[in-house]
Amino acid sequence: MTTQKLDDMADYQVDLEVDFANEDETGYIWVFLDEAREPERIVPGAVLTLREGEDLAMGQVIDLVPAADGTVVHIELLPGAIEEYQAAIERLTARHA
Amino acid sequence: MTKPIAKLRLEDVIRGTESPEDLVFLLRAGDQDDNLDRLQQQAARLSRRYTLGGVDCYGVSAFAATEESEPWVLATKMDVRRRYYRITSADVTGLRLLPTFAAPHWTVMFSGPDGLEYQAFLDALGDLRENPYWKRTAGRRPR
Repeated sequence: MTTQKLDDMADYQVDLEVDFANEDETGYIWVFLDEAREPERIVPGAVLTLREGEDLAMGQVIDLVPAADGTVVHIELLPGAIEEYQAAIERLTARHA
Repeated sequence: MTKPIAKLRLEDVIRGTESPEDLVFLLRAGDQDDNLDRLQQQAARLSRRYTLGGVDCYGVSAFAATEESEPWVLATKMDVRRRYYRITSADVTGLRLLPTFAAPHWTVMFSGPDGLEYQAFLDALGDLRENPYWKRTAGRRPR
C-alpha cells in the first residue's frame, strides 16, 4: 500500500471511533454500542476498523454487556497495522485470480 | 420487569495508594482540530458508566510509566499510536490523577462535562513525540 493511500485512510469512515487507552476491569477497551456507525454489525467475534484521531487499528468484538446507560462493547485490539490486513487480502485474491 | 442497572463505582477500581509523583503519563495524540470536542466526548463516556463519590464522573484514560518502564508501555499499550504526549503530574496540577483498573492504566479526572480545565489540559500536553514502537515500525519490541 502506498503512502498516499495511507494518508487517504484518514478520511475513511471506520466502524468505531474509540479511545485506544479506554480500558476497564476486563483489560479490554470499551465503548458504548450506540457510538457505532452501524450497531447491528457489532456482535461478538466481529472484526472492526477502529480509529482515534490520526491512528487506525483493527479490533475484534469480545462481548456486549448491558450497562446503566446503554450497552458496553468490549474490544480487543488486533496485532499488526491495519494496512497489512488489506495487503494480505490483496495478495490472496491476486494469487487466486 | 427487568431491574435497572446501576452505574458502577469508580472507587471500586482504584488501585491502592499509588502516587502519580515520579511517573510520566503517556497520552492520546491526534488531530488538533477536534481535540477539545473529542476530549470532552471521551470524558463524558466515563460518566455514562461510572460514578465517583455518588455523582457522575468525567475523565479520560492514560497510561503511566516510570523512566524504566516507558519503552515497554509504548511498545505494548501504545503501539497503535504513531505519536503521543508525555506529561507529569506537575504539568496538570488541579486535575486528579487516579490509578484505575489494571496498571499502567490511570484516569485523568475533570470536574464536569465542560469548562476551562479541558483546554488547560490540552495546553499542558506540550509537544507531540514520535512513538518508536508504533506498530508500523519494524523491529523488536520490549516484552
